[in-house]
Amino acid sequence: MNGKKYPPKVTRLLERNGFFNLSITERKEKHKQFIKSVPTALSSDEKLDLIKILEDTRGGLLN
Amino acid sequence: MIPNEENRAKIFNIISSPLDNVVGLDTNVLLFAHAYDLFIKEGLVANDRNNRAAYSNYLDFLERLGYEDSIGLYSIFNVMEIEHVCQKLAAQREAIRLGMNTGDWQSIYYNNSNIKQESYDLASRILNSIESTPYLNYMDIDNEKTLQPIVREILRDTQINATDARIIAVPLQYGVNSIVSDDKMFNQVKGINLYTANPTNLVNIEKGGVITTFADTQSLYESINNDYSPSD
Repeated sequence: MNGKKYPPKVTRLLERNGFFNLSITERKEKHKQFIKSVPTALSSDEKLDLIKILEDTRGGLLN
Repeated sequence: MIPNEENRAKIFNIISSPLDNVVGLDTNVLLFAHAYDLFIKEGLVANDRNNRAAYSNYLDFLERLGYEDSIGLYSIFNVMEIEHVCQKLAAQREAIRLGMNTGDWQSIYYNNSNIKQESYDLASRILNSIESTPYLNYMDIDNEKTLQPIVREILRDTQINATDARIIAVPLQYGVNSIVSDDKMFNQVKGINLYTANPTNLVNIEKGGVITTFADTQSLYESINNDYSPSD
């Protein structure tokens, strides 16, 4: 474990989520896989439509 | 009432400023990260340095969390916004398919039951993606009774909307005062460290990069008591 400190409530949340059960190498590898997968989670058309909505709803996604 | 300079958020660049150990996530960051690459590819924005900074860097920010062993937190309010946007997106796509006006998307959604699956699948893909990394963590509302006074205080002092006030208030209940958002209005929220790529906010970037401590944030709010202290 490294020296990074989190607020106690966050630490308890991370414990519940199994964050500390993973080694730093394991969790960084999982994160790397996540980053690699993000650009392919949506199709090109879905991304275009999402972008339009984000641009139209600046200041409130629930509009 | 717009707060004076002393009572505004401290602004930090999402890539080059020092990163706090835990950061609350605004929904637009998660959504931009999932779609950013087409902003430039499709010519929706010019391929220049400012636009790359404004849009593509939210994915880089999420990547940075892992590099620096920092945690991103999100709550039910982010999930609601993602689901809502996906309903809207599916309805607008259906409207285009039917040759209808996309403006009244809610009636299109409610009158076309076939698109609920599309909306559900879309939201599931985004949420499954977010849930796949140990560095993005879902936080429950710690205490609904004590959340509300924090929300009310934020709404009293700023012009941000009710959902965004909760997106900021839930991390504060966890002792977290750093937020990442593209929303320029978040700069009105006192006591938070605001990580952003929004050029409007970056004009007021914090020189020297000193992150506000949670104790300092606490002292600015009437409704954040010791229950939320990082040292509890």
